[in-house]
Amino acid sequence: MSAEWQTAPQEARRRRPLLEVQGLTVRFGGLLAVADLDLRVEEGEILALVGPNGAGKTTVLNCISGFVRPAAGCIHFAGRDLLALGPERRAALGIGRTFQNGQLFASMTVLENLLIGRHTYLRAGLLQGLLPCGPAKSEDARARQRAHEILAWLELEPYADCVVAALPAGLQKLVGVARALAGEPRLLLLDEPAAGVSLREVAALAEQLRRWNAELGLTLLLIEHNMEVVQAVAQRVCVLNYGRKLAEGEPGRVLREPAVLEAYLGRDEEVNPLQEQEVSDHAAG
Amino acid sequence: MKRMDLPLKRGRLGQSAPRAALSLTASERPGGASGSTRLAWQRAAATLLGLLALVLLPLLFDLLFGDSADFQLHRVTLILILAIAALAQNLLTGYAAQPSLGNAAFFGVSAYLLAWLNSDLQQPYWLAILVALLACALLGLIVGGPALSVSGAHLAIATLGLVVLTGSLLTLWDTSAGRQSYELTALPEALGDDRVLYYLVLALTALIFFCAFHLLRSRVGRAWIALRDSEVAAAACGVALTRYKLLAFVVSAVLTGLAGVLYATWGTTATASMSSVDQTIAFLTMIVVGGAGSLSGSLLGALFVGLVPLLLGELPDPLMLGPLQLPIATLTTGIYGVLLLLALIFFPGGLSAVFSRGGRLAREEGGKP
Repeated sequence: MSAEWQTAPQEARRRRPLLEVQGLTVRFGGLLAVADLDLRVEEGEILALVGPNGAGKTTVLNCISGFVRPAAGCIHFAGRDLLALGPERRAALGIGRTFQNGQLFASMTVLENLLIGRHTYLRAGLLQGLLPCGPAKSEDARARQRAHEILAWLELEPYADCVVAALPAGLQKLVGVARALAGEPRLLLLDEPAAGVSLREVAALAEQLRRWNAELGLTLLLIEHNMEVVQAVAQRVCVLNYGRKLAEGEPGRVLREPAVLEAYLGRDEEVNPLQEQEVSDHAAG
Repeated sequence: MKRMDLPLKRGRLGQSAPRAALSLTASERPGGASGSTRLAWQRAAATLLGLLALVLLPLLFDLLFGDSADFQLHRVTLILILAIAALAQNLLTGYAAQPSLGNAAFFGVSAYLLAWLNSDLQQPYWLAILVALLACALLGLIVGGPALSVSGAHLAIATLGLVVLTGSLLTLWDTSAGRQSYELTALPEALGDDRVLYYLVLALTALIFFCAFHLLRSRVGRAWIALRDSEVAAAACGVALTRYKLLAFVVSAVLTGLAGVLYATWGTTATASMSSVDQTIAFLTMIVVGGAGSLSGSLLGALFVGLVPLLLGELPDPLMLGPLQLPIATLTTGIYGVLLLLALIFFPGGLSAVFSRGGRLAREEGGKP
């Protein structure tokens, strides 16, 4: 699966990071949500974005996937300027995304969710769609097969024909990931994959993330409150506080810095970010 | 495909609850799969039977009604025409989730275009229809662009304004031409026969529903449903929101236009009331009572909305309730309003959801040993 997964990065671009964020600034009215942020994500890397609630983490992700227009700064993906493109064009370039609150297509089956995930690979328009046979149906059949492969890989195959709304929350989270993977992205943005996941499952989740990275060659940028997951999977971590970068580097070192520890003070349950506990709140990052 | 590692099996996917569900599903899968296939076959068989019944309906009416058979058939034709309009509204509102109330504008404009081209300019009937439909597509595109840049209640109000504006313009045209309504005087001879018209409309309706069925299971239909369920996720998956909303608007406008020309042909006249708030309420009632986001719901809604005036038609017009004088047309819209309220409060899924729930219950009862 991993061999054909992604288009080979061009030799010339190998020097540049896959994702390069420079001087990103976002204002919501009078509130400075992100201030002059620089961020680089190398191809094949796992980078975790951490910080207290309200630090601007999700806003950064929303800027990358095109839902928020920054006041200043620029974002390059694989050498292309993203800011001129709408969210759907960015998806077509290979940026996948999961959401904090799922945002699944609840009335559809799991398989249909994945077919939408492969939307950019399909071509059929209105007129071909009207017919019971023809090119639209054959490309659909191929997409279905690919979706089944991805479901099998994630052990979701038994649920392929289940309507998403009827699935338990844990499985829905996984369907969100499967949908993003169905688009075969180069960069996957994960917004709190461990939120609401029980302590026992955290280790398994970390294993999953590493597996996607290793076997699919997938570059991961994840927002995560659970420091156990961050320490287990992230090669680098970037700490945000009040929209500014507080620290960046190896998780083991960065998460012990006094400034980082201090940023987490004031929230009782997170006095020590390394403390093992389940972070279940979903408040906006 | 690689097998999962042991820790994973103990972990996330292997937790007791999902595992139990997994094994349960796995053991039930053969039955479940054949169950869903059986359901699909049942639906296909029911559809074919229904279609066969509709094809044989004129013969049945001959036996039942004798001399008035053609008159009764004429009424059924109206329900089929309404079904096309209901489908148009449903694609736009029930599937692509655009609460547009503007369809009645296209309903009237296409009818007036047909009347003008066919009766006044003496153009061939089919050419006139083609032009009317193209005009609806173009109008849909012109109106849809700005309309879709607003959303929700704003879209509903803006498009309702379009209906009122169109209605006044058509009335103005009628008044300045010195007529009550636009008579279609040059229709093809054959369409004067109620049976021919019935079979023509039946064939068109069946074809359109057949195509809609496939469209909704194709890339385009899935994109519409996706943007209904979650716009942000649809965009993140690469669905170009504006393009698909606009496409839904145009498809809906063309189908409504087709319903409009057929309606004018059916009544041999085009009236300004085709583009009115009352007409909008009728369209809305069809999809809410029938079932938003359901093809069978469009049919059921059309049946329901088509039958109300028929039943009320048996009453004297205007109806005298003591000192009250009620014109039947007002009463009809009033009843639609009540139906809308009742449907939204008591069965938000519409009739189709009620029936499928009933069917499911019946199947479950029947399946018990």
